[in-house]
Amino acid sequence: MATTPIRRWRRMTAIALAPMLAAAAVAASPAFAADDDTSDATLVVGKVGLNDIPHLNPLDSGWVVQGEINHLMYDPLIRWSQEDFTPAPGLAEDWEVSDDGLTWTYHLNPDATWSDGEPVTAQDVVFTIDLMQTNDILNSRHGGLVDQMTSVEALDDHTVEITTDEPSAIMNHLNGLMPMPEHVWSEIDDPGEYTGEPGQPTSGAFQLTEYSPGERVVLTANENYWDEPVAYDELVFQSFETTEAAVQALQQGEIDFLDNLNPEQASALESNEDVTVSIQPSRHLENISFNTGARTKDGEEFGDGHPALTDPVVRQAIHHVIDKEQLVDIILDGNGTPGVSWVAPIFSEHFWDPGDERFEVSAERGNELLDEAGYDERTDDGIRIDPESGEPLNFRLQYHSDRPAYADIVDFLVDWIGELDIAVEPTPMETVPLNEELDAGNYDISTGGWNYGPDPSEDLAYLTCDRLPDEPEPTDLTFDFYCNEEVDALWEQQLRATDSEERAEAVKELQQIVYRDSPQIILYYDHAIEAYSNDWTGFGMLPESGGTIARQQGDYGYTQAVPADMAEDAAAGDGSADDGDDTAAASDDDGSNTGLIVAIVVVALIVIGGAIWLVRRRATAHERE
Amino acid sequence: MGKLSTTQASVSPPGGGIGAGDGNGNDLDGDTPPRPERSAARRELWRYLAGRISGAAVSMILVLFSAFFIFRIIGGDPVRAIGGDSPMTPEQRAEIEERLGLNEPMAVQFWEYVKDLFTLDWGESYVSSAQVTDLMWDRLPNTLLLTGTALILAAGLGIWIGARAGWKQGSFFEKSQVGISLTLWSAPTFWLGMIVIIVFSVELGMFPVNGMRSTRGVADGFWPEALDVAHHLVLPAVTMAAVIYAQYVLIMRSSILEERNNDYLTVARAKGLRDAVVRRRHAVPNAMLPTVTLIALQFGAIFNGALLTETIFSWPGLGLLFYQAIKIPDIPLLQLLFIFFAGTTILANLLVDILYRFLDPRVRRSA
Repeated sequence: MATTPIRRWRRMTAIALAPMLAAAAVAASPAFAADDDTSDATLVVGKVGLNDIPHLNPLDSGWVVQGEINHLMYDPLIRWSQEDFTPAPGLAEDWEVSDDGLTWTYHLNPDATWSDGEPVTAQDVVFTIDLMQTNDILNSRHGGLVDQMTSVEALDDHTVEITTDEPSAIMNHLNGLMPMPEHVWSEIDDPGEYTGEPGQPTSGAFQLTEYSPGERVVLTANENYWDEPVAYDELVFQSFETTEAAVQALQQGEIDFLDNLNPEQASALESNEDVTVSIQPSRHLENISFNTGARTKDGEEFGDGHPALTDPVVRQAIHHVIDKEQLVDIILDGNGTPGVSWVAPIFSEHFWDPGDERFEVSAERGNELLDEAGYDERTDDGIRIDPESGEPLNFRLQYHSDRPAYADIVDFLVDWIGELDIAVEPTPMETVPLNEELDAGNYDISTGGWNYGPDPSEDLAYLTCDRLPDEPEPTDLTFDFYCNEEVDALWEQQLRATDSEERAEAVKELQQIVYRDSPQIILYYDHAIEAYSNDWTGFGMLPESGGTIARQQGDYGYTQAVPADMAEDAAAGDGSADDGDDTAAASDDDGSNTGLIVAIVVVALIVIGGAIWLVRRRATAHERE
Repeated sequence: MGKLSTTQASVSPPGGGIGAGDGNGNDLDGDTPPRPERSAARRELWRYLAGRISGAAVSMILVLFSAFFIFRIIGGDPVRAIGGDSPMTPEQRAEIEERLGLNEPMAVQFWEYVKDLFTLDWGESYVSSAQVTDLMWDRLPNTLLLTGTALILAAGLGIWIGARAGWKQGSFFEKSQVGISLTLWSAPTFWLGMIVIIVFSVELGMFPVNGMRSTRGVADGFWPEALDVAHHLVLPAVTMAAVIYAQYVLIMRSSILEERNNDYLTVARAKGLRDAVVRRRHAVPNAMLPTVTLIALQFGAIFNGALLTETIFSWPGLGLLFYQAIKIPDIPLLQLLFIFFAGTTILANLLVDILYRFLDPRVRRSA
């Protein structure tokens, strides 16, 4: 196998070219970095679940992500205040209600304009409410709000008068009422089918520039925004299939902000000095829930829940053995607050603090309760027996297998509840089949999680008797088939309270009853973990004192963000805050010059390939037939 | 079997022309079969084609029927998924159910489905209410780019390595290359994808993590955009090729092994050709046949996308579309994609069967 001269030549060329190629690639990166022409400051937000949203119709919005995007483009009549979730001016700068609590007068901000320069008028509001009342699709979203309005009138360009058939608390909280521009929307054939068109005039801080379903949403800042224009040019929501991939993109500088992280991802990011991790209270809670007896409104029973769980005493006894503090420490690593009832503490106006009524963690107290209530007989295995049905207290505990935290929680629960001489059989299940079983009432105890919204009417409605099904059929509209007339009365009271304090009282009292009754046990309110690139600063939390940046019912999170170097300039009193080149640097330093590297590599490969082929041809010419 | 060379097989059957009454005695060398023989062969060809095509049609009909049921059996609640993650009232639920036609009995839904099949109306996506065909055509080019690139890479690399490995059986090259390709073949795609991302994107920062375009955009114009896509294409294409190229290595290797000791190669060597030339010009072309089949079969697969690869790299192709749809489940979209995937595969199989008949005379003889 002697090496021919030609083969040696070829090998040497290859050896010589390889490092040259690598060198070219390396040299290219700094050389072309400055050339990269994306001169606008762009905040790139990574979103897992962006592809869940069906469209960008602001009036037909059912997703948290969609809500975030809506708030960036359209201002509501009334915002949630960033301080404490109380009503704050939006497009309406103030409003009042008549003494009978039925007639509301809203005064629009005369400075408010659409992004095309037209003023936002009372007629726009009337037009939008009319759409929500008459369009089937839009009405199915907003019926709860607008169907109670018996008359909606524009008194002048900036005053709207709305009359409701009964007093209504929500009229103080019109965060869900985003007017659309009549001068454009009246020309849309079917506003129910509107899917989001680039360039539509908006009343908010941004306008839509691109919507690629399942890929990304690009918003451009509205320079003439009537309220407070943002400090950058463009906001991109980039879709990711998994949070893992998004974490890597954040580390690599492809995105600037990411929410919904788990503790492992947070600790991976904490070691990155270019990234800030923000761990703050959220509106999310985890709970266990008891099948309080699946039945219809008429009392026809269905499902296969354990009869003993319809007895509040059994649920209260279990409440006594659950050490929520320990769960927060161990499961959440301290990043959470022990649970009380459905309203999370960030909603300070409505949060109910149990004080002395808190269930003391005491197996002794739990056992006492059970003994007193007649659960004193035991099976041969030492399990208590339900005196009424004669069945041993042997509960199934179905939990979501795709949430790792649940498996850990369940281990604790089995031990703790065991101290009451109650047996618990844990069964992990996939979310979809598990939810089907829950809806059909085929469970005893289950795990669950919930994002409590700021408006109590919607979420607490799940605890009212009205949500029991008419027929013995599965339903996801009730929390564990719970029904209590006192709760119903308080829910109705808060729904009709036009005075905020009165409403808060009713909401708190309702929670107190539910806490005592324990149809669910709220384990904890977990903190949200979010992370952002240090190229950015100033993200607005809701509430300000400590809350999330993403998933708000408002636009504070992203609109208050500022490119870090611009913030520095401002701090240094430079004043040249709108210097375009400066802001560009914020997002550009990890820009993609790499495309050029690839180009060079590709071209080099072709050249080398061609050269080798030529050499080979010549080398083998004498051998060819 | 492997000894049957092309030349041997294409010789007409001895005596084939003798019994034919129309023989005019012109074909002295017996190479040209007389006419009746030819028309018999043609009839036989048509019979063969008809058999294959009707087989494919039966498969296709089964696919069309199962597409309706398969996605309804897997369960899931599209209404819940479409309504959003905020609380949904009974009115909303009812409205969505009616809009999607889910409140109709199953038999009515099936009847609607069959009717729509005949009018080629594939319906609207539950989620975006766009025509599902539009969604599919939008994503198809992206998938073709990824899978096409990966297939070319895999086939090129696999054939090259396989030929060398088979030629030098027992060598270090053979053992190591077969080992490497089999290891990659057995690696789960999602695992390999994650490793590739961690090493090349996160640690080395050479390639982007996600998607097909830069999140911050690039300069306008064809070249910057094309380069941006190419840059995003590297990792998914390489990952996908790494997983599948082993098939080509193994098939090429074993068919080269069969050819290796054939007389015609001895002849070629006796002509004084270099070993590499003997392999490249004589052995490889004869050993290509099974590989061609594999490529043709995979040709169907390039339409199917690469569900796992596309999902890991968020490559906006058909695989990712399917993955996104199945989470809902978006039944009209799933039906269309399922039928499209199955249809292209059936078609590719059919084409292979037909092509094979022309490529490999042995099939013609045995049919």
